[in-house]
Amino acid sequence: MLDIDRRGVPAVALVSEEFRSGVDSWQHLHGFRPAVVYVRHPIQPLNEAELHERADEIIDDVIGALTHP
Amino acid sequence: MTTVLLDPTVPGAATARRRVDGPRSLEGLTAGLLDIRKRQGDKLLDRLEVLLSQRGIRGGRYAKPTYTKPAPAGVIEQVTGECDVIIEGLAD
Amino acid sequence: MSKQLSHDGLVLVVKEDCPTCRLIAPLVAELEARGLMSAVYSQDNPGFPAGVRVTDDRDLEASFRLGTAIVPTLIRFEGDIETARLTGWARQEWREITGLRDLGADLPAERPGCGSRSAEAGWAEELLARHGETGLRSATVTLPFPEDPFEVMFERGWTDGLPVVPPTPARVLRMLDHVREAGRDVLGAIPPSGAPCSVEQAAVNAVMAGCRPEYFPVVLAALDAVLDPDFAWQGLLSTTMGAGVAVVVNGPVTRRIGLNGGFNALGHGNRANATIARALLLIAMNIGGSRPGGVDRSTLGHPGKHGLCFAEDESDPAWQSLAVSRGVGEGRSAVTVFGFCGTHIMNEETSRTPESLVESLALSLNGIIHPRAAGGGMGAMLVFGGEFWRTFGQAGWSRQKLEEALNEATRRPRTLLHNFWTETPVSGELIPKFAPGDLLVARAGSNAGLFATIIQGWASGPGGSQPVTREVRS
Repeated sequence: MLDIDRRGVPAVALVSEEFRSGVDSWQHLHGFRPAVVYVRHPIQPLNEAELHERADEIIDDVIGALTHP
Repeated sequence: MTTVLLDPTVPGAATARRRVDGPRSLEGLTAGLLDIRKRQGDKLLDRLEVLLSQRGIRGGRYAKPTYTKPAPAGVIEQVTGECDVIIEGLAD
Repeated sequence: MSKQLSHDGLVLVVKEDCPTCRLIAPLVAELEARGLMSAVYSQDNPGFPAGVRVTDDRDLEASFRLGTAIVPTLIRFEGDIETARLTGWARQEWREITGLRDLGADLPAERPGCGSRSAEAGWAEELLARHGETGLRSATVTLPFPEDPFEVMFERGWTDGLPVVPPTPARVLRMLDHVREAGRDVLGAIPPSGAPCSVEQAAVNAVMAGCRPEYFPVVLAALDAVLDPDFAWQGLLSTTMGAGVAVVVNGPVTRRIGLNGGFNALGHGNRANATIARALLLIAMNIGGSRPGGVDRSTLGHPGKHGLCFAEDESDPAWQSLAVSRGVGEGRSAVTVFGFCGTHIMNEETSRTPESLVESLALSLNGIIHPRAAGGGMGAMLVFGGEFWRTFGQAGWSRQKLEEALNEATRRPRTLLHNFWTETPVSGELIPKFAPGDLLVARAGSNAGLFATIIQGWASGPGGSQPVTREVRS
């Protein structure tokens, strides 16, 4: 994410909710807070329809994270 | 009697970097969907691509070779060169 | 407190525990009476020599600053500039340097000196740290008495949960003395932060791990190995599966440092086994910023995350060593690093033939990741002791034959597999469990006990971690 931001491109990371503390640590280590949208956990056991549902839940937040009105 | 210890750590990352601002709207722009190649992520990105397209936002698909290592510079150069914004996922 | 070391005249450094110093002691009063002495430093007794003004140098600061290697040392200063120096007792030379033609007439013509206390083992680095230029660049933390350095290091988050050895400048200097690399040389970027790590910083963490200086070349070889992109240390440090680093050492270095490859080789009780891989973990934590619950997402983890290091048993030349099988020349010392997520033991009392034993071992190996998983993408290391080796060795089996047999025996029927695991398209009814090279085999442990330990790896191949071998630089 840092590489992408250094090149001046707005970006958002999609991360499982369970990884919040990991993201906090990464931010502390690298001195950079990327835009993050958290996805409801769990992910691995879901079927395709359930994964699509997750996408529907987050699309507005994703667009919001990428724009600066 | 004082004890002198050498510090085994490095100072935390220096001043925080502020991230770049996004555009006012994504309509008509290209969003790069960068798959980090963790299992299941591609299906979620598939659906996001559809949803973006419904909102007049073009989606481009890109992928890291593996989620276990940082993205090679070539992948980053390509996606940042071809896209206006990037959605990277899915980390779990 | 720094001694004022400004001299004009003769300076003498002695210790009472030196026969030659005791021999020349009566002369000192004479030299002092004639106003020739600028200072007399005693390394062990401020009352020696008797009857003269002696400066207590039991802390050896003056001895260090004067560069004293032998006692007695007699130095002539003229306006703070050294113009002559003698060691030991030689009557003619002493007469010349003092200008006293009758000096020491009733003493033997000459006697050699003794080693200065400041040159004794352990003192050199300590004195350099206190009074000299160490060349060390790390930031320092100074703890006044009665602060407890062990507690401070816990409070600062410098440990892996166990106490660490205080990294004093003297200890770090001793560690650095054992390698050719300079302290300021940079070894690489440590994940997950990517902060650069110098040889000095590695030495600080190796001291904390409890390594002896002679282990440091092995630590550096292992660190170089884990920094190889093929090892994917970043992935191992962050995976939910929870991975540690196993370091298998081959070659003469194992004997030099007393690394255990016999009884309890994978267990506790040996300093080298316990500390070498631990140094890597401390580097990842203190320089790379790896923290459980932080970037390290280990769900459960395992005790081996503190680090595992053992010597392969190379006592039987019929068994090709792991290092040689991976391309290292015979008789050379090397480390092989392997990312691992746990161990389990396998016991088998009934097999009398190598074929039967292989089949039995394969049943245990098939549990790696999951019994329904196959098609490559997972790593394992099989470690077996002397009794199992006897079954193979007596039948004339080589390493190569054993590895081929294990890879064949661990093939899984397609019908048993769950397609969650077998994303890689494979053909045939029997699917190999392991991709070529993903199953490592090593010998260790005592010669009694029908056991093998299976060290479970992580994801393997280009998408995971691959074992890496590096020679140890002596």
